[in-house]
Amino acid sequence: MDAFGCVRRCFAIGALAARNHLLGELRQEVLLGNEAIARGIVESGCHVVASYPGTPSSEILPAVVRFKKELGLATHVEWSINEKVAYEVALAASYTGKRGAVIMKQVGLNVAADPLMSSAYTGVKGGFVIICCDDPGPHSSQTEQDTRFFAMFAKVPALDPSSPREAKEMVKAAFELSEKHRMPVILRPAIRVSHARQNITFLPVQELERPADFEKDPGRWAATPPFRYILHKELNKKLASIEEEFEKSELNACDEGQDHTLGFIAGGTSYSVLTDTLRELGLDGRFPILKIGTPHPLPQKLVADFVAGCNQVLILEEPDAVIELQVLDKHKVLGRHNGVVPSAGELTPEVISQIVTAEMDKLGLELPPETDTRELATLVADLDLPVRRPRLCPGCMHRAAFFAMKRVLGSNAIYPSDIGCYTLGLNLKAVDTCLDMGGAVTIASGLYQAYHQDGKDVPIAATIGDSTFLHAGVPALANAVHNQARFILIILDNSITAMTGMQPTADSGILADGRQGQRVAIKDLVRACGVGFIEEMDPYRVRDFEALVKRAREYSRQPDGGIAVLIAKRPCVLYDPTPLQENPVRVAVTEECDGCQYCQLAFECPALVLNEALDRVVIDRRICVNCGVCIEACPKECIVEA
Amino acid sequence: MKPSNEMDLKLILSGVGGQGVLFATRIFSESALALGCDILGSETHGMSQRGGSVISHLKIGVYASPLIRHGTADVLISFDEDEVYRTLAFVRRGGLCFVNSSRGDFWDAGVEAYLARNEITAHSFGADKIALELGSPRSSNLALIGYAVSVPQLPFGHDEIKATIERITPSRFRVVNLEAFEAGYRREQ
Repeated sequence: MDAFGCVRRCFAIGALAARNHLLGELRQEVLLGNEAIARGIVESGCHVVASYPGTPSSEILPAVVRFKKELGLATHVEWSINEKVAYEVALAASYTGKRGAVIMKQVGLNVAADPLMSSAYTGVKGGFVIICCDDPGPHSSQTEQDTRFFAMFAKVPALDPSSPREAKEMVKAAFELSEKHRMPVILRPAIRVSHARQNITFLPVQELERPADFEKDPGRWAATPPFRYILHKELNKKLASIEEEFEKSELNACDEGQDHTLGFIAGGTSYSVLTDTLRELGLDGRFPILKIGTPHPLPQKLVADFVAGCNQVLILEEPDAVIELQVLDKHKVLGRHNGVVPSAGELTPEVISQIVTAEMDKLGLELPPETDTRELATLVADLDLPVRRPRLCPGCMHRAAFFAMKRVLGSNAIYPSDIGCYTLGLNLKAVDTCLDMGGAVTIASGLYQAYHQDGKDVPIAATIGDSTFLHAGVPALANAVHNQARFILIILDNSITAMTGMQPTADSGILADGRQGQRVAIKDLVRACGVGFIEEMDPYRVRDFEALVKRAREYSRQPDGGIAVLIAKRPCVLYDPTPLQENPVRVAVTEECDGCQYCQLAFECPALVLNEALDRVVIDRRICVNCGVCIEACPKECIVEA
Repeated sequence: MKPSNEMDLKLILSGVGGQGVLFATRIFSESALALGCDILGSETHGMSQRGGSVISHLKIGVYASPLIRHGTADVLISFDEDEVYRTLAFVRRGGLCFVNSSRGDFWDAGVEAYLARNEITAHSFGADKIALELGSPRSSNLALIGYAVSVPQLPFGHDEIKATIERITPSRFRVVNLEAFEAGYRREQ
């Protein structure tokens, strides 16, 4: 015990794991943070696991499938159609007394916010854990939102792991907490936990005999507003008793320090980065650090006692100021509210070391000399290295569809799009908006209404992927049809959720564990929405696809017309390269090419490169997949079949 | 000799999508695990994988965070002539750097002076050429690893890396991967 009355931990779990490994007692494997979380779900004896893919959470469910198969478990796993659906499927398992887990990325919880808020009131029966991965940076998301704020908003507890190993342990703690207090519990790993790799010790699976047993209790599961008031009071009580429990929980811990001129409060990845940075700066063990693993509800007494024992306290957390906001007396606190910590972007080791170094400077502490890399930044900038922006793959069917669409409708048309690989259609100037999942259809619909009101007819062509259409596009399309909007909707159906790592969609009929389920056909859904023009075609047939786009445009303008839906259908080249291997179209650029680079701008295939010496475009054979579509991309007919 | 399970090493691997940066990282992390060391690393996923820069951090020893800070990496192994410049800031004074390039005069003069001032030992090695001669351009990462292992300052031995490659390579690439590793180790440029 130290001065603050809490346990010093310092890699205790790691040391234990390493010892067990050396003794050869338990199996150890290098796992991705997300795989470690999956292992934690399985070891907790969880019965139902549902998810919708999204970086940085996508690898969790496939790893659950792996462990389920290895161990011969009966766990139900599913890629649900969206996060709200996934949430409720797993929640219902908890109604029956079983354990349920739902997995998503941080913006996925926006979609599942409705059941989150309500289930906080109703509570749960079997353990129910929401695993929601944050993306400070952001690296692969539309916002840097902090899931811990959602925990505050919904009044549910949140646990914040700082490493894959700890994430696995916290899954178990979350299930126990949820079952004890009959509350949903959020586990919030940030991307540097989800996509970290660490050696992880495998522990035995907890066997939980839980036959499904739904006990009718309408005052809870079907509560009307007067009962909701009672449930709200119950929720407040639960939260207060959880806060009490967190005051003494081992999920929070104090690293001792002799110098109390400054103390640190840190959670999640920021705690890990801070620990390593202090060691590198020769400050290991000098200042006390309060590690917060339970950012909500914040153990107020623990924090207040810690703050009282220090002259100043620097709070490091990401992506937002959730702990800081809850600290009641801020007069000693350094953080985001006084600009010491930046309010946007990831707290990388470079950022944290700058913050710490500046504070050490103020304390008059001299730090050991470090490698000065500042001049290198200028030297490297002077090299003018080529920018490597993400691009659609060679042979990608989205490119063919975008190219045909743009060639027919031109630059004056408006192109709402959506979330997926095809957002990279930005590079082809074929994407004008990207708001959220399903936003292509609703934005197209609203744009139509706004122009139509003024008596104007502007061509609008929306693009959306197959998985995204199923996720949130279907209600949007029904709404657009019902309200008499008119536009072209191109559903880019590459038969898989490609961007997040090839998860099967409902249209394929394939289930999360590889078995065949019931297929839900996109075309049938479109028809059921009341669309009067539905055509399906492989967009590699560029000329024919262009003719379809023209017909679709005419249909959207004719008196008895409406929304025209084109389903551009061809498998993702990464997912299924066999069609190209079986029917390759090898292309060549003729000597007549004058290097105008139209193909590079309008078609933007990475395999078309300008050879400056020859002053013409050549094919990069290392990456060309022989799709032959670029033959259409040269207006001077200089790209030909070889 | 220092017991191997007390290894303390910060390693950055960089390149572009498709060069096998993540597989190369696995070779080092699995080798360290086999020696009884703790490992912690971080890698690139998602949209940035579509043709973008790929960077992998690997810390062997007792660490809390998977990220390596600029100016603190012991070793940088880069499979790409541009990415090596972008990731060079990670290397500490006195560190080691390996780049996949067959050009003897690879380094920009200004950067070369920076390397000298910071006592960073930089090696360039034509791993692509070896892999191409073996008829397996994708094994270039293994050739560069072979070369790096042949440098005494790198705290990994030939045998333990070879054993890991044998263990984790899918069978259809095993022979050619081992050939590339051995050719790199023998420095057959």
